[in-house]
Amino acid sequence: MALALRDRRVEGRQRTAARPVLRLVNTRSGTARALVLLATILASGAATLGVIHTQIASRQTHIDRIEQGIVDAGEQFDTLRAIRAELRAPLRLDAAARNLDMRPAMSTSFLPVDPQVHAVVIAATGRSGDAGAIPDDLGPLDQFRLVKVLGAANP
Amino acid sequence: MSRRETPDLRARRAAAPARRVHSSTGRRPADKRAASADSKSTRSAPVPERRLRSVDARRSATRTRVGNQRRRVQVVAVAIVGFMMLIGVRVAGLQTSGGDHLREIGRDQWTRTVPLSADRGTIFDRNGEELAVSIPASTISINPKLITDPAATLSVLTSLLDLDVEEQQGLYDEMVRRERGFVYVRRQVDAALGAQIAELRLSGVNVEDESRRILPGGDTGRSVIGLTDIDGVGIAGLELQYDEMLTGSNGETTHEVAPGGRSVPGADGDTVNPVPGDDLILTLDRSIQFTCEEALIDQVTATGSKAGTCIVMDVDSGELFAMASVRRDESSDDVAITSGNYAAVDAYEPGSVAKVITIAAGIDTGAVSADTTFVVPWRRQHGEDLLRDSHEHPDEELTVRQILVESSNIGTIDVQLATGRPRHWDYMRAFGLGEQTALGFPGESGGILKHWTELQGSEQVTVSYGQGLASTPIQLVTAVNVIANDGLYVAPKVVRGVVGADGAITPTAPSATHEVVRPESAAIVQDMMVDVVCAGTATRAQVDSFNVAGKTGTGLKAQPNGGYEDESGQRSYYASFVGFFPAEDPQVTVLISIDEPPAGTINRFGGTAAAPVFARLVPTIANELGLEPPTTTSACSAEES
Repeated sequence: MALALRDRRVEGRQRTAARPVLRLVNTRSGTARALVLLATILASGAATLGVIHTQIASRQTHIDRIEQGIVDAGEQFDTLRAIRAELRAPLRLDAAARNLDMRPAMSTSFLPVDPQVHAVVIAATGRSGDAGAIPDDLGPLDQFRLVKVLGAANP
Repeated sequence: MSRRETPDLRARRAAAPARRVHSSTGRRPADKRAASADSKSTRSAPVPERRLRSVDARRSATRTRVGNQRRRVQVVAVAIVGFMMLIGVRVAGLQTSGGDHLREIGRDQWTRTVPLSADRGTIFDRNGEELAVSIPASTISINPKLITDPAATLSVLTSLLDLDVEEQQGLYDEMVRRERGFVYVRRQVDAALGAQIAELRLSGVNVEDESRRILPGGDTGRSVIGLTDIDGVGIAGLELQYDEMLTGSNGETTHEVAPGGRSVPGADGDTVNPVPGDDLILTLDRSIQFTCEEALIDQVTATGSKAGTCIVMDVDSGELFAMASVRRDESSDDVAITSGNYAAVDAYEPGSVAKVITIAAGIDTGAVSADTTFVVPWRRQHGEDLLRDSHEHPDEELTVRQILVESSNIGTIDVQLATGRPRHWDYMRAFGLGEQTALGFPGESGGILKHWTELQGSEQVTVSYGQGLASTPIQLVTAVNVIANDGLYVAPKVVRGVVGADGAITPTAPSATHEVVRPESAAIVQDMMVDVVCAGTATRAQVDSFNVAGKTGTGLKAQPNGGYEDESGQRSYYASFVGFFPAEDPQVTVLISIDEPPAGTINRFGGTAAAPVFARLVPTIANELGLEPPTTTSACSAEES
């Protein structure tokens, strides 16, 4: 019995004696875990970076689209005011009037107009009140300046 | 910590006396260095040679492997460190001295720079209507080396761009030869058409954005506005004069591109925004300008004249409401608006309009008054020349007023001589003759006014009635405007303000002024000029509702032979009228000149060729400027009564 216990103790010591080898393996496992952890962190970082870059690229594309839209709108604005200027040009109006058989007056006489009548005409033609406050009612130069001011404020 | 032995090791120790001998020394190989020392003591121990050799050989082999491994690790480590140091040195070198060139090459490979054109400024009239504006356009070009199917490509381009036969042949030859890498097909076509062509993605066909300068009002104001070339550079008129201001500065954008040339979304980019050119606000009124041009075209056409000029000027500020020039095209015989501003460029002998200056000088110096009388023959010898009035009349006693109203040349000479030639010359200079105006228009003429000491023969006196000197229409209208402006000279002005990049308007400086004659003297001459219209040579300038003052002029044009008659004895005339209204409180001064009206007709005079145009324009000008007729009675009616 005592011998058996001794043998078990010996075996226990032998097992104990083998532990440093296991500890050596454990030490190596710790390094591996550290490497795995590091790799995981790097992979996660890379993935996060990829996601961030994708988001940035997506938003940059959106910004590019908006900027292109602004440029296109500016070009359209220039085209439209050129068309408007052509439509308001005396040359075209004169030609259109002649097509309607209108001719320059042979003589001109200035007639005094009663201020009351003048006021009634202004009111009837919608030229009174705060119509001037509506941006659409701005003249071509003021409209142009308004767009230019906005462009200068947001280059 | 002691080293634990496995059963296997114990068995080996039992079978190896040498190991025990070795153990009897009382030392154990605690480490590899000790094991090496053990190896030496083992070789000296008296043990059976074969077994020892066997064990030693195995252990020795093990130790050798361990030693070699360490060396290998050391060698590899040294190699890695050395390699890393080499890389470090190279990197340091590239970062400090040799990297710029490589960075530049790399940047060229992965980036692309696209120029951003600055918008050319717009030119507005005084009411904010666009006179000249740049609009988006497209330029179509081809790279013949990339075109695989010339016939099909040409067919598409022809159908879309309406190419003529000559253009088609030229392009086809280029496509077949494949020698050049760039050939223009059509520049500055409509932007929508350019987009349509770009959508087709034709191989070797390029579509690029470009702006196009247009005059939305047609030719209205073209004489003043001028021209740009196809690249948008000003080459005439205000487009040339203010080219730098209108042009602005171009920008550029640099962005990273993929190997295929496509942009990389999200990649860093560098953009220098273009700064658009400033915009000009002119003093011109588009409606008045158009009316002037139409009236001139009608009159030049009706009279068969060569050309015509019209200037409408604000009396107080010198701002020009209109500045028009028309000319007959010799090949087509059509009369059209000119691209050159002859109102500032051409100088002619002004004729009798200059009498206003002589009379004003005489009155202002006190040499004469309106009622001073002279006995005036219809002709008189001066030097070698026999000078005469426009019509024969007996010697008659004329007041200074009558001299101006009847436009007597001989009487005007008397007034000049009474004033004194040096002082008369000083007044002509003060009225602005002989020097450029403040407009500074490209190619503007300063006219010709010799110093009084340099005048020879009859020129010494003919300058008093506008022969022997030359002035531009703009000089002449500015001179007469002195009388309308109560004796104050105000320099003409065509640019009212500038719209900056921030949209703010910066008004131009007020025109320079100086007093030429006293207000009282100017008032007397104004009154005389009303008489000219009511009862003198300019009755056709009369207008209902407004009292008008003015003076006609019928100058003789100098011929290439130096005289006033060409080889066939024909004379050429320069008919003009300068007037202002309302006469009671002058607001607008107008010059009308008709160049080379038919010599043999009644229309050769200022009163017949030019004055009616003035009368036609006044109602429109008054309407556009909101001028109300005075409540006073007509000056001409009062005079008649």
